[in-house]
Amino acid sequence: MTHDDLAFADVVELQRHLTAKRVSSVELTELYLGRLETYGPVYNAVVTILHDRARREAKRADAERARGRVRGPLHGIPYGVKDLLATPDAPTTWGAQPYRTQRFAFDATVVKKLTAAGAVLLAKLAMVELAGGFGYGDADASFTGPGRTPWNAKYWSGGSSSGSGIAVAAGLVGFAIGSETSGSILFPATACGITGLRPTYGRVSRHGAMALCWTLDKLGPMARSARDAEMVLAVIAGADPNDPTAVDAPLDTPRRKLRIAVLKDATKKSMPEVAANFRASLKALAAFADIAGEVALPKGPWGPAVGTIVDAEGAAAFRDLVESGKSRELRNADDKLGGYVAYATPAVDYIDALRQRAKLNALLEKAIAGYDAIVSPTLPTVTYPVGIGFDKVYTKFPGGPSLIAPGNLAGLPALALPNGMGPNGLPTSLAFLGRAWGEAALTALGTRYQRETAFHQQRPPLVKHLRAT
Amino acid sequence: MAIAASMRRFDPNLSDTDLDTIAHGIDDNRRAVVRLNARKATALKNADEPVTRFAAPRPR
Repeated sequence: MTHDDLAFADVVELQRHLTAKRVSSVELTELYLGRLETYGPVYNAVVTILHDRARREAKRADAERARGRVRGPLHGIPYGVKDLLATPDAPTTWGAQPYRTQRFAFDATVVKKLTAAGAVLLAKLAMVELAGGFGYGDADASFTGPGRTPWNAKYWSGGSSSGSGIAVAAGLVGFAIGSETSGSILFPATACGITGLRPTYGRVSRHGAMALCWTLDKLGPMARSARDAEMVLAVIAGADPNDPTAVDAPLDTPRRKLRIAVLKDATKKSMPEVAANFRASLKALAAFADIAGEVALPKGPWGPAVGTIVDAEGAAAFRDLVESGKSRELRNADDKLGGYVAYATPAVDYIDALRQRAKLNALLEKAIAGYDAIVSPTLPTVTYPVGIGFDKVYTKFPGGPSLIAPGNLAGLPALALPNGMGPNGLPTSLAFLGRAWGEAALTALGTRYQRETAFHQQRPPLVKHLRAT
Repeated sequence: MAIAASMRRFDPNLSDTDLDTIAHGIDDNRRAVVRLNARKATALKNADEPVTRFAAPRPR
């Protein structure tokens, strides 16, 4: 077993090694701390490494294990969190220069739960400033610099959970926590070739997390396997008196063959590699799931509804930033002025977006009824190059209908999994959109898919220095 | 443009080019918002209420 074998092992395998005493939590933590220091700056993955906290928690985990106390499947497992989650050990920067020295005196609920489960917090991970709420137009949108995918450092890691995606893909952490308002777990999961789980809205407490959009934000696991994502979700889920929207709900896998619908026109105007990999994925899925039909995305103003809600709630969430004039300190050119645009959203437009939300969500619920998931490529292309505006990239492949905006508008869960490779050594991905509270069905599909395929076990060709271009 | 210009109360250093960019952004949003109510099938009527307390449908 090499250091790389350990670094890239999934949580289930790491726990086996810890149980068999082939490695201690302290040793695993030192391995990851070293890798964060070596590779973190190359790919712009890290804001702050929490050396003291990590070593303290690892020592505690080992001491408890020696006394026969193992708290659960995450005991002694090192992880990282997107730097929008409050921790008292270091600033919580939200990826944004104006908040670079901001401190909170408490752990976010998600971090508290992971600590109680015996996991070891390694680092606050890089993110797109303000989780992308002001509308960034290219990859350079964080004071840590553009996130770079470990598969090809000339390309974007995706965002806004950029550091979480990078750290998992590059074997810098055992797993990570990201967040999604509209795409911020699924995109970096695709770009970095990892598994990302966006839970149902209300599954996981948002207490202690930066709010971009109160009615769209969700925290979720990013990991090297679907079974890991399921385990992490089980720990972080649940009601919280500090977040009235978080509720207890079962995570039961249906004990029957799962039914999947394919999104109609899913690969329309997609890159050929995305389409080919998706077709191969459907063949693999058909071996164990019922590909029961095709579902068309109900027609409706999904994008304008999500956009208007994010603008209005985001402007309110960052009202102080806009009104102080400090949004000019943001990194991305679009972000510097985007807050003013969002601030100008008329109240009647926001309310109309909420009225449309009710109608659209009912349509989507009807479309997905009778299935456990709708499957589609996560994105129509591979990830974007760093240094070019998003609107200028892959203009030949605008893609067909996307489930990202509709799924988020309705608060539904989704799971993204790597399913092959595309141009420039970059991964492609497929996504399952599930029914409300149906995460267990998604992770069951993902786990079985990953038993039949090996894309999630591939390791990126990491570099220790960026070559000058 | 007047709305964009009003943002100078938050940052007096916003240039004319900045205001132009902001005004374009506001116009883009206005055009997008027209699509909120464009389709007959989903057109809003008086009785359509907003989701004021959002929650995903509860498990059955």
